[in-house]
Amino acid sequence: MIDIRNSPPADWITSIRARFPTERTVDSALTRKLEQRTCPSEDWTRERDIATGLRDLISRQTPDPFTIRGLRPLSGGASKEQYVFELDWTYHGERRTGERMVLARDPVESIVTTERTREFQLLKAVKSDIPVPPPYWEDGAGAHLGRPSIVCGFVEGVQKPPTGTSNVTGIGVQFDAEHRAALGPQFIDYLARIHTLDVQGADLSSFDIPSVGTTEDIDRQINWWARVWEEDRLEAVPLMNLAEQWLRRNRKPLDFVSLVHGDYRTGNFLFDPVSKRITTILDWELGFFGDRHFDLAWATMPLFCTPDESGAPLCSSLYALDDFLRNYERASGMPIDEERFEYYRIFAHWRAIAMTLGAGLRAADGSKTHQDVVLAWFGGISYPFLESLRQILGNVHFVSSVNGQPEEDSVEIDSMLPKT
Amino acid sequence: MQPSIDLRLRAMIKAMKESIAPAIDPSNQTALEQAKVVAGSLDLIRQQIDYVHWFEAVDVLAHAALIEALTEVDANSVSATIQADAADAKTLPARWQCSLATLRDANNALRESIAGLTADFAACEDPDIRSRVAGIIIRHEEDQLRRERAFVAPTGFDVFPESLLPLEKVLEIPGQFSIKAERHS
Repeated sequence: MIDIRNSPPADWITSIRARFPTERTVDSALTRKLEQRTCPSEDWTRERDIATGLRDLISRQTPDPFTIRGLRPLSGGASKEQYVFELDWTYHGERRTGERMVLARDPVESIVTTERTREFQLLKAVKSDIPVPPPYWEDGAGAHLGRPSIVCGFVEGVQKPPTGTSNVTGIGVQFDAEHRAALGPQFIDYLARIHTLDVQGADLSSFDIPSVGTTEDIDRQINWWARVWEEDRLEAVPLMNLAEQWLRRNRKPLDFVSLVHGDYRTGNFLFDPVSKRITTILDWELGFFGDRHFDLAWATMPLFCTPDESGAPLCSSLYALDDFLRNYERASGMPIDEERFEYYRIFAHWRAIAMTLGAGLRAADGSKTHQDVVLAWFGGISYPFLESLRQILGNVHFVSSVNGQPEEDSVEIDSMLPKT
Repeated sequence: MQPSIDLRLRAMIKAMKESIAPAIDPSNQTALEQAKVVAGSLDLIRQQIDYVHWFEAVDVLAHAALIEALTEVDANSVSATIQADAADAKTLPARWQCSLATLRDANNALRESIAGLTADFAACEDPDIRSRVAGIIIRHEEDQLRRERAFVAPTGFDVFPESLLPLEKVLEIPGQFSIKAERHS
């Protein structure tokens, strides 16, 4: 069976861009992905090529002599190639020796295709308020490293307790009560801080920032992920069409513009195993400006829950759902709109499936990443995601929803959590 | 006689776990993680392989039944080609000469048609039709996802244990093609 997505012609790309208008830099990244789809995956991962490109990039940014040492692949993450190295260099007149750095480089395709510039700008915008890897240099066009890349400082920390286990990408990390008590309030506090951060004055030129009272944000978000699904899926899933239509019919105007992290969950922060202090919030590439309820819905998805000692589900392995939401309200001073939260629960599941069953498997199918085997394995998470989406869609009052009428029945949120 | 696929897969898993993974430089965490995932994936394939053909055959029948159910809602919205494709596809599982690739292609074609129909019905003016189609799709997906989840259960991602059944059992459940009957009842 011929799949046009394997070799998308220019007119197909043009039509898909017109069908799904979204943010400028989202459009550019997705368009580049399609235009490169037939390109062979070059073996550009040889360390000497990376070292040459890295040296080239840094030499353009710093006039003083520097030495790169110990360049090697770094584990973790399924979306970007990562390398760690030590740098001897001069920063604002201060000589630094052996400063550990991380190079993150786009694969040809990925489970998430985004512009590195967006991530770089966000890191710079939040670095004085939120613990993040210090951003140093950006090769947004891949002029030096062959593909878009950024260099950040390395931050010490662990993703899970030393004796803990998890599935790939930090899914399924479990914390004991002591860790939960220490990490939970920090996790909530940083989320509240992100959502209420004043980023005026920061260079956010790669973002299209929506206006309150409009549906610009959610329209762009739906189009972003509907486009990803349309471009990348290996097979059709009727539930995805149903969910997309529901999302389009039931969207609401934005009530407050927040910086939204986009992938806020356990697995995407590091902490000091001794002090249990969160040392960094990672993976900002999916960040955008829009509705804070997205991050809440994402962090509390059943697939990101693990059971506590009694078997009760904990959102992001830290809090029972109600505690999570009430603590967030207290920390942020922002109310949670139950209807928006429910809406974003559907959106979050739908987006997750577009990523794991769409983009991730497409990238693996085309041998486009250094983590194809992990992406193929990770595709297995799509079916419980779909089941969760099916349950939520079935629970909302579907008849009134498809009519575009407000929901009349309240939804029992707790009934949607997994029975563990 | 050929060595069984199960035997070969078990040998590969053993080599990966006992010879290859231990020889990886412990500082190369990416390679170590991938070796673990390769061993897990081989074991997953080993558990799936006897059921792959059966799985695809059941999928074909379920998709054909779904198209019939959508046709009953509004025959004018389902083209004669799609109806004929569904009828043809239903005959595939009974043919022993039918390859896995043929079943898979038939499934993909039916899925595409159903996705298109779902989008068309969702844009339909008649709220009753929209709601009936939504109900049919959600019901269809319940069975479909029960099979899909059982198929990949060894990955360990599933969080709905009460509805996660053994693969053989979900493939045998006779209720898979009962959408029409349920709707009439």
